[in-house]
Amino acid sequence: MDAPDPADEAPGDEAADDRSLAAEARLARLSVPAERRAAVLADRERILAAFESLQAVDVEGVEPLHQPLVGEGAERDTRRDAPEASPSLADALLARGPAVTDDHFQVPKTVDA
Amino acid sequence: MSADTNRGASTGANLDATALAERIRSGAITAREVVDAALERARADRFGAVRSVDEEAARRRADELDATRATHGEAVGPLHGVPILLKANLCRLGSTTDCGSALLASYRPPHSATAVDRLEIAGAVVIGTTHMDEFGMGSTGEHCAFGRTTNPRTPSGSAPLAPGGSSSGSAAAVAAGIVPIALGSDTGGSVRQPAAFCEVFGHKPTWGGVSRFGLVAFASSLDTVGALARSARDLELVLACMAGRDRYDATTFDLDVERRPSDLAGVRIGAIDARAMPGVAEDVAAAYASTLEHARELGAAIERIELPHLEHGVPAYYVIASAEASSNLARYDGVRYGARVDGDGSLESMTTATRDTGFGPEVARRVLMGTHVLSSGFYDAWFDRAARVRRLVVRDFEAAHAAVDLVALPTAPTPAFELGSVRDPLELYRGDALTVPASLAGLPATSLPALRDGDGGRPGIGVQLIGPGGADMRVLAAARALRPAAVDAVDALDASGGAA
Repeated sequence: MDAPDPADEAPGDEAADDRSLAAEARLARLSVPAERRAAVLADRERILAAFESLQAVDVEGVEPLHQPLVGEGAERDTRRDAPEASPSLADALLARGPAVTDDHFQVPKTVDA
Repeated sequence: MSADTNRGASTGANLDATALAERIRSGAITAREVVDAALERARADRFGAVRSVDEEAARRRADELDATRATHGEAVGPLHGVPILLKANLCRLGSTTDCGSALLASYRPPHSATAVDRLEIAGAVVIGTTHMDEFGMGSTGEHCAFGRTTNPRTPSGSAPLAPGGSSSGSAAAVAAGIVPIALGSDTGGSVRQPAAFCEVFGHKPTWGGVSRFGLVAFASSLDTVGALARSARDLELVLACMAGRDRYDATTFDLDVERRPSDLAGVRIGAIDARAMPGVAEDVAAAYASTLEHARELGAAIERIELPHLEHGVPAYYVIASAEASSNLARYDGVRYGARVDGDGSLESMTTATRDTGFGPEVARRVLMGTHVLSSGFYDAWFDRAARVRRLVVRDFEAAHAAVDLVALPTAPTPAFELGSVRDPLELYRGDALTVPASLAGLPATSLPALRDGDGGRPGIGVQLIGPGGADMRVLAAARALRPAAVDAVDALDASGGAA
């Protein structure tokens, strides 16, 4: 699927904006009730409009940077990606859940029998 | 001088940690006396800085330290008996780590942050936690679920000024004289900006210089653990204790923590034309200029530099930080942490109801924004582009640091403003314009109270020095050269005497 260019994002297409906000809110597990969507969208549009200057920056040939690791070559510890048995920590973490049964976090039923 | 004044002075209300530790080491005073006095000041806190205090544990620890010193004749470490407060997003076994959020109101972590552990090993006594903007998202302290903090530097008779944020309580506690040192965290300026507003010192370390293990994540590629203090030498002391490799944070490396002489002779400091920058207040530009002039008198060479992508810092930062936050905060699902709110019986509605109830409006705004900029249609235009602009910000600093030793910027474009007077999120974001560049680039930066010669400007103005990656101690030495003395705490006497 082609990504829509935000420059072409028709601000007038309220129904589409509304649908995308609803979808994103669901992904974020936050509810934006229908009566608040217009306000939330307006807030977002205003903020992104102020960030529009990013679109004018010449980033041709510039790689994205995701971690500002300084000191190239500095020794860093990378552990083996293997589980370390820590029964007491497991219990401690489990104990902090809001609902726990036996050795499990309890959640509402997700599969119908 | 009243008896209270003497007492306040001797037990630490106005001493920095270095001086206080020295008094304890020499036997002039016990750790217990110092901790008792700090607890008393914490109880009398009238700025809303302190969130929680664990008196019993603090006294017990102070007694242990006194007993150890009596037995072995020496201090356990350079912070022996120094009382400290933690921002409420730093985990500590036995403390509540609420992150300023209703969602984590009673969360007690099963482990301590590495930085906290190391300070305790060095002899520091944690007396409690401080108020903060929820999950670090805010710059006024107002986005805290448990009450607001006011700025101790507010002139008497004036409406309360904002303490800055998000390490609002930590900055206020240090400015008030409750403790000489408080830990904070700095993702986009959250140590430096409140340090400036409360007129104390604050250091954001090089990213990777201090372990983030046990710091509740907001935006992982930007998060750092920093300290606030009333002197630059205290920040050097604290950094030396907590820096370095940690097997629980793979980004850490062995930061150079050797103290440098405080000498500005021949140091090249890069400066921008603050007056030409939109949004920089006149008194901020004036205080910045007099601080640079002071540096010049001390032998520094002030050179004009350009940071061409400075204006793109705020957009790049808010896109990246929101994206990372939306991902990091996904863990608050009502299953593993904190309070759960039941929905209509389904798992999804339970998670949604928990988050709707638990998150404040600014956190919800940023999580939604982060979800948006990461969504398939907008990733390239926003998140990916911001990450590329981030590299350009890094290159700006590389070019600057090739020409000068340190870059100086005002810490914030405005002085501390009246609490509640700025409501527009965009205006608040723009207030981070001068702190986010060093965050994006992962560079060490120290904010110090500006040196001003009777400019008649408002309180709460700081200047930050930014060094190349890993040069934390050079940055701090320069800050110490500029301001060798500790700044005074506000009415430490009221607080210690309980007379206020």
